[in-house]
Amino acid sequence: MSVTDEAPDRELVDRLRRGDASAFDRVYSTYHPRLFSFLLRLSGRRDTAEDLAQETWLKLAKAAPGLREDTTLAPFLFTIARNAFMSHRRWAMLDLSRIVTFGIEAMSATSNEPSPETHHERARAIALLEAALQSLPVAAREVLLLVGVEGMEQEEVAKVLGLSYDTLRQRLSRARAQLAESMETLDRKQNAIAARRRTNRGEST
Amino acid sequence: MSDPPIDPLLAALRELPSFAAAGAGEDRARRAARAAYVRSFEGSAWHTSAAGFFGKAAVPVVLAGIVGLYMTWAIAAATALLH
Repeated sequence: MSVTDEAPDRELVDRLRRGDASAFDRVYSTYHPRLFSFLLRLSGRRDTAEDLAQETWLKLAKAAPGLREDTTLAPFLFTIARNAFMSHRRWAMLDLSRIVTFGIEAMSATSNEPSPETHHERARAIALLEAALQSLPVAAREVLLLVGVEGMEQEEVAKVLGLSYDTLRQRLSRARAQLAESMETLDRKQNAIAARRRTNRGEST
Repeated sequence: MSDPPIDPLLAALRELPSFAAAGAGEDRARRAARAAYVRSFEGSAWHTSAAGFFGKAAVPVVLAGIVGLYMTWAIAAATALLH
């Protein structure tokens, strides 16, 4: 299922092209959380994600008068956001502190509610998935974020990433396998740590 | 060309929560983006079309002119040296 809906997009794009600020507000409210989450998961840093999201919106603001009538907003915005990230990445050595920072973000996003057993399990599953995502190379992560998290059509994702449909399918399949493998490895590590803790506790009592 | 059914792993990704941007900074960013949007419609028609002209036509023409002048000078200088 695609998250883009062409009819409302048409109307919104039309209003955006005419300088309707309320249309801009609506686009912002609809897409900002998605763009921010995408950029945060891609960069692993909140400050970077905020800057890149801001850059994306400024680019949309400038491009609005010249938008094509048939523009579909999700691919358009995610292409700008992804290009902004790639350009940022070329200049910054992001990977150094990425995993540490993101670990904290992932936990804070999943630990808002009181945690009975099921919530705890769900929070753990989400944290595991987020950590596994973060361990993947950017090329794999961006495909999974757009197809999996965003639920965009694969044809659209291929356009956003500048790939052919077949290449996208191959990359998605590889990324999916990498994610599954990474989750397994992380899960095994976590279980080993938990078992060691239990053993230590057993020895100390 | 139809997409394969969503597998459990992709479905789990779909369930991941969104992250919210921080309050005050987010509000400032939103206002800045909105202001930029409004500004992009404030330029007069001649301003917009002049910018479009310079962006699309004049810059390549000027660049080609500079390259032409440089090549003329380079060839003339090489000829003078040979003589």
